[in-house]
Amino acid sequence: MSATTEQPKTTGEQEITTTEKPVTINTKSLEEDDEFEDFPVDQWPASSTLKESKEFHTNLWEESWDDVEVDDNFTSGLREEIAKYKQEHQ
Amino acid sequence: MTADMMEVDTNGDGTLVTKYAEENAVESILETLKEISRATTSLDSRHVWRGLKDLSSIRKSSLNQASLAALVNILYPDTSAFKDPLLKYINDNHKSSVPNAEKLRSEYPASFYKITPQKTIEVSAELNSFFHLLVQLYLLDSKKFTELVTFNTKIVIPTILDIYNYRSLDLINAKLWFYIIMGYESVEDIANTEIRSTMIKSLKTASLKHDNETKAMLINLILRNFLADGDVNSADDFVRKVEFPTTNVSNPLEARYYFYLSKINAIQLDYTTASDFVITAIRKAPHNANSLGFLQQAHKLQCVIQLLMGDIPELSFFHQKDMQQSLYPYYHLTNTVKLGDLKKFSYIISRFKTQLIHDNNYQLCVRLRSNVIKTGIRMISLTYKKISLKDICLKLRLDSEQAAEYMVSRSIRDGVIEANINHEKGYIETSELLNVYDSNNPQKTFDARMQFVTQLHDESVMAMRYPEDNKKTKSTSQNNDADSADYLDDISDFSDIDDLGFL
Repeated sequence: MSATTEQPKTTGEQEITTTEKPVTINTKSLEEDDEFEDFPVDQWPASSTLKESKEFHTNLWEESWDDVEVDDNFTSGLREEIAKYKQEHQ
Repeated sequence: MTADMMEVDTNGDGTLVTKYAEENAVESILETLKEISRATTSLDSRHVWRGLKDLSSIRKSSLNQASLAALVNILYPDTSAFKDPLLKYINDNHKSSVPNAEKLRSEYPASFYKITPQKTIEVSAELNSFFHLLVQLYLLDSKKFTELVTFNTKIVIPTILDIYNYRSLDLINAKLWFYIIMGYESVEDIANTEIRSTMIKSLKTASLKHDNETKAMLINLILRNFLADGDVNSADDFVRKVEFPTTNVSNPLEARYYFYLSKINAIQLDYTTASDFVITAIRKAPHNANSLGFLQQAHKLQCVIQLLMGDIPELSFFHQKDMQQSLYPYYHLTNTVKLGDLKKFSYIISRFKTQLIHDNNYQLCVRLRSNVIKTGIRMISLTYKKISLKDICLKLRLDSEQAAEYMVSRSIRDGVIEANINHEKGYIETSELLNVYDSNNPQKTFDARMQFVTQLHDESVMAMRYPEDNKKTKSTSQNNDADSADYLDDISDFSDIDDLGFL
């Protein structure tokens, strides 16, 4: 079977670009190669990709929602109180 | 086979001649055609399956106007009824010819051809259908979208799909239908009712013929059509009447089916079923570079369904590889639902409105408003033993005390909080929270988990597939024993026993 699926390896002057997968073409997986054209991959404008934005980062530790910053009245009030307390006891 | 020097032959009068550079493309397509034509003689559809696996590599490297035109000229005899229409769509009405076409054709295997009732020679059904699929792909990839739609309506449906009646064509027909719909979608005609009824008719035929892959594909495409039209009720009726095939269907098709089912159930407020379906869809889908778009959509849907059920997805859910950017709006949505902050919720919904609409999830996300309020109420009831309705109004920024009372009573009814409403004096009093282990909840959750795991186990056992091999000889039974022994090994507690003497 591998003989019949031998794709021409690129020679120097070939126009047809089969350079992408010179090795993987010969290994057929058992699964189908469904390309899912009906579900295109999400596209993003370059400026908002992860590389640009600083908002996400991969953590090395286990994350939980409790670690996410909460920004409500209670939390900010509590922070102020703690800051005041620290100052008083400096 | 490789041409070290690219020579371009032209005749004096400038007619198109096979360029040597295209010979490789033609050769590689030819290899696939040979594989597929083995199905004609052997009546074994696995050859078609193998041939179709070459499709993506052919598509990337060999599908271009010159090679396709050359191949049509060589492969199809001049008496073929399909030759001229094909050339017309490939060549855009330019003329082309190949010298020595007759001679080259005579070197092709006889299985490529058959004799028609009119006593003419015609290309075999399998090759003909496959070739039309190649032309579809060529038109799609060169963005000739209107030509693709015309090609499909004028050629593919009437002369290929409606005419041939061979079992071996199931896999090819499924793909032909897929690209028919892709053609319509590429010209923004996503909810075409005419093609919908054509598909339903073809579905009946496919069901009668037990063409399971085509049947599955058509069901998915029809559902997609209904959903794009916003017609969820008809989609639901359709699902009830139709039986999705369970055998001989590829996993990606099953994954799509479960995804559409999940969507329908979610819109119709059956969140538990929807959740099961979307989890199944993600499980059945392949997890490779091609399926990323599908997985992204499925994860988005899963997040929304979980929120609608009242659960909060884990934070790690949003930090999955390749999902972070896609799930970004959903992460913020989850955060506001978790906090019970209505103001933030409205802000997030409006900020990400376009993307949610683009994901077809906006309708579902808007429903989350009541979830936000419920969470807010729950947090209040946890914090306060007794609180007046007026204060609840202020905290949750609700319009009136009546609205607050209504929401609280809803929450009590849904089991979100345990409290009493004192209507005359206008306050809520939280009652003691029960120990959850006194109730049936742990047992129910455990039962649900056991069911899921057992079902997964059963499906995996049924789905175990042995690689097609030439060594299916005496060693087959030995392999079976060895494999099932390994499997038992894994699931039993005796996995530290090296020899399998106890079997």
